[in-house]
Amino acid sequence: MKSTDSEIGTDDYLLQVQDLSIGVEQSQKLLQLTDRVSFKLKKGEIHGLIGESGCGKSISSLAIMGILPQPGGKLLSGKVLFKNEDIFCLDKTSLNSLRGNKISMIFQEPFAAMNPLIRIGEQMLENFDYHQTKIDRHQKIRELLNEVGLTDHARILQSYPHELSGGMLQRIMIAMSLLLDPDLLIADEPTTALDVTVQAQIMSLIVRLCKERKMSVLLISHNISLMAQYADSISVMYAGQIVETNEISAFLTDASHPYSRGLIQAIPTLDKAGDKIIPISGQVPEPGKFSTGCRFMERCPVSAAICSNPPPEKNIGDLGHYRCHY
Amino acid sequence: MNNKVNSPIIEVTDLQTWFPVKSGLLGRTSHYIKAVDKVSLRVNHGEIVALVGESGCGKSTLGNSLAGLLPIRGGQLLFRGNAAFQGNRLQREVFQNKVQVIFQDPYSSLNPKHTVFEILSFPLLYHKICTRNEVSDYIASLLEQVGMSAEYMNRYPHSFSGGQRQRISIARAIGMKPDLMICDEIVSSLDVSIQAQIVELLLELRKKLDLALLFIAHDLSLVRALSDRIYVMYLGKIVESGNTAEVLTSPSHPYTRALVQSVPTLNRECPPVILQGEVPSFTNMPVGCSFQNRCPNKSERCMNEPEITESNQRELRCFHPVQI
Amino acid sequence: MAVFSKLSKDRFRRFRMIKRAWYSFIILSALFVLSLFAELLCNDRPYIISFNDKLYFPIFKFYPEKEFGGKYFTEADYVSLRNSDLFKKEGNWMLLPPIPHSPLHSYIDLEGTPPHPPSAMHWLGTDASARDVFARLLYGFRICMLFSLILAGIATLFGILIGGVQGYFGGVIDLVVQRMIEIWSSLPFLYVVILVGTIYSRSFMILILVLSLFQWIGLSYYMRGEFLKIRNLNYVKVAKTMGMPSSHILFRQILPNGLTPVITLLPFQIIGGIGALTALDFLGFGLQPPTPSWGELLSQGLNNLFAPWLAVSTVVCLFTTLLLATFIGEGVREAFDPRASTD
Repeated sequence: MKSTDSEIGTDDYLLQVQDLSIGVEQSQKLLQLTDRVSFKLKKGEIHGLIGESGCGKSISSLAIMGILPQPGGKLLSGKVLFKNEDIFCLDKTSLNSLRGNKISMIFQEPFAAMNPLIRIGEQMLENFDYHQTKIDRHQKIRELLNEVGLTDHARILQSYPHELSGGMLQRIMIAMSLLLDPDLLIADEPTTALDVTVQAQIMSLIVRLCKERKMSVLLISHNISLMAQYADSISVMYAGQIVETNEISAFLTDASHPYSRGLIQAIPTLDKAGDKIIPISGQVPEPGKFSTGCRFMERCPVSAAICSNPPPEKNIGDLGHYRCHY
Repeated sequence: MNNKVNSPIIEVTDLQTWFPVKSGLLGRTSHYIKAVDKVSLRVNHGEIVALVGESGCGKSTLGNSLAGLLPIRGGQLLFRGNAAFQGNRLQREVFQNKVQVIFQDPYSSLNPKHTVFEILSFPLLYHKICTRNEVSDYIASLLEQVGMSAEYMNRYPHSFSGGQRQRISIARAIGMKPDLMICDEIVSSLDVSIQAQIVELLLELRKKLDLALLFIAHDLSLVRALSDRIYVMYLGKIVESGNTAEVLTSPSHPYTRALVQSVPTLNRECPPVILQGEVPSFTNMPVGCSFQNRCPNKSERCMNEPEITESNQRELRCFHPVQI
Repeated sequence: MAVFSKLSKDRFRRFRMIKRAWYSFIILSALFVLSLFAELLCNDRPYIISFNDKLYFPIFKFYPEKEFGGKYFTEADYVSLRNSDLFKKEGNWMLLPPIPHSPLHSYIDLEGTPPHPPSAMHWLGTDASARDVFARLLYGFRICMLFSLILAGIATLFGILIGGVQGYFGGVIDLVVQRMIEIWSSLPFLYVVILVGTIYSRSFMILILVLSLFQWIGLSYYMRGEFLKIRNLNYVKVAKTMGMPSSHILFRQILPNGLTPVITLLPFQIIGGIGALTALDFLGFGLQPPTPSWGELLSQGLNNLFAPWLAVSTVVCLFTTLLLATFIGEGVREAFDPRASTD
């Protein structure tokens, strides 16, 4: 049973994540993993979510589909509004009809996302089984394979995952995720496991599809250059919190949060050749060991006594905001 | 930075590591996967040399072969002038523990049942680098050199993060006072900000200990920040080599150029350029130049195998280099 | 070198949380330890005898008959002593263990024909040779457990050695040893036991020796797998590149990490050992009489079905022991499950 396609509101946001706090219960203790995470996605926009491992970006992205970490995941507060409907208020059937259908996801490891014992063709057909539609399945599959640049249909559909390369599998994953024309594609580190030449191919493919179909993409990565090239706007996540959000060129010219600046300075890029890379000292704190004030305090080059208080949220221009005392 | 004589610590000549593919009823070898095919390279004293290539190009196989973990089919490795390979096996005594290896995965590089002290002390005591009385202090100094507190000595690996574990692996390697460290993708599985820390550490160690590095990686940006010279590998062969800054700013080989152009930068005005096609498999290699199917400069001539030509301290394996 | 790393402590904690396994472990261990002191608990010799104003400690020291008014230099028969008039004089007393019977003493003087039914004197009655059943069960339990523990120990040693060599060296050595194992394991061990027992005497050690020739095979398969898996891990590769000798790599690097199958298999090895010994004794090819043994009691029970206390008591003991060991084994397996989350 499909959820009714509600009209997108006046502010034109396809997805709004508001104050999302997720925790997990482990041996009778509640560990809070994300803290009031908020970001918004317009139709047809590519929004980047950047952060290092353990910052909570994957958990937040799964939560968009209503998936909480197992075992023991809990929604502590907040909402995820997809087309103005709160995901967490939907019943199970409506939720299932959203996933794979209106919201699709692709993952980092294409090999791990496929069943090694089932041929590609069958796996692609499986998607249709869950969401009964009247469209011609085989026709649609062929169309999409063409769109992602795979022309040898017969061979590919008959193959098993291990017979294909990483790049091809990721294209197939993308094709699979688009079978039902989703409005939102969540791409969780889609090219991290791929070579840089294949990465360029896949990213340009994703961008092209996004523009052609007016599909929104939530691009999750730890690679700031990737964001610089492909994202329209960006949110930076650190230790379970969003510390800065802004439109991408404004972000790159003048990032406000010390962590964002640290990230930009710490990552070597080919065009920065002469500049020394300046690493951020220290390590990401573990969940449960966050400080009550600013979580970046210990590693921040400009921290001071005031930072032991939780930092306020400030605006940058019309669209951006960040969380810092400075 | 090279005050010493430009003497090579290791000189690899025409190294070949082939994997036999057996088929048929009797399991006869039908053909070979030439993972490393006539590779020659050199690392000089105190130099950081990068070996880059995409997955499957054979760089890790090369690293493992130099470490003596794989039998080679042919070629030679001279360590300070002494031949290290006899036939197809490495004679490790030739290295005299002056060549150390660090691997990619921090989680399987440390024995989970041993404390940091034990991990570091076993080789030190076995090779008599220091005595039982000295070993504790020596280990403390090693840990400090890699930026870790000496009190971590009695902890087990599971209490450390990926970056810290790699530091411990580095400490283990430098404890042997090596001349050369082979680093096989050692930062690839770490977070970006930790990668930067480790790179900074390696540069420091190079300065302090006069250490040479053979840095195997796939991240060109990292390699640019770290290495002096670079070798680019494609399908088992070196296609280009030379000074890192020069090769990456003005690459000669079409593949190197494609690689460099694929890397995203912070400059949105310069989007990555797409190289079409995929790396052919080792079992399905084209006749002649292995890059020809994806090369914009391809011609008839490329059906013959190009040899390495050297000029201006740069090596190139191509008939149609990129014109600047 | 720590076998008690956090991982081991975690596993032990998980084991303790499985109540059924933990209690079984406590009970079985307690019973085993108790049985080690069988001589102190269940003996026809008293702790202390006061005879003619002299103190004697028969459990700990040998006293000839002559001490107590007998004629010979052989050991005093304390059972007849306690019933004799000589003893029942004033001032003589003896302090007996809680179960004042020995498994070897035949109470031929009892009323009726053996096997005697349970009574106040003999809680579980006597067997066909008028020996106290309870005592025989207790001593039999000790022999059973000791036998299977020693057998498991030897089998584990061989299993680790051979399986480890196979897994570590691989190649030709692995193939050759594997074929040898296959041939060896096709030998019918029962016949070998019988044959060896016939040629040489059937002693405790000979039986252990013969059975241990076969028991190690199962474990070697697991150890081969573990060693094959571990030798490809980076820390082993690093040890190789650092020029560490093979002995160091095998014993200090690989072995401590490959012990999981040893521990998970141990309870089942013990069960197997108990089963094997009991079966052999039942058939009469096991330990020599008059050694107290459950298998022998079982066969007596079968031949004297009108005396059900023989069979029933032995079966109950056997069943309980094997059940406890099985619970322990299941608990160990669950605690060592690598997929269980460690927090």
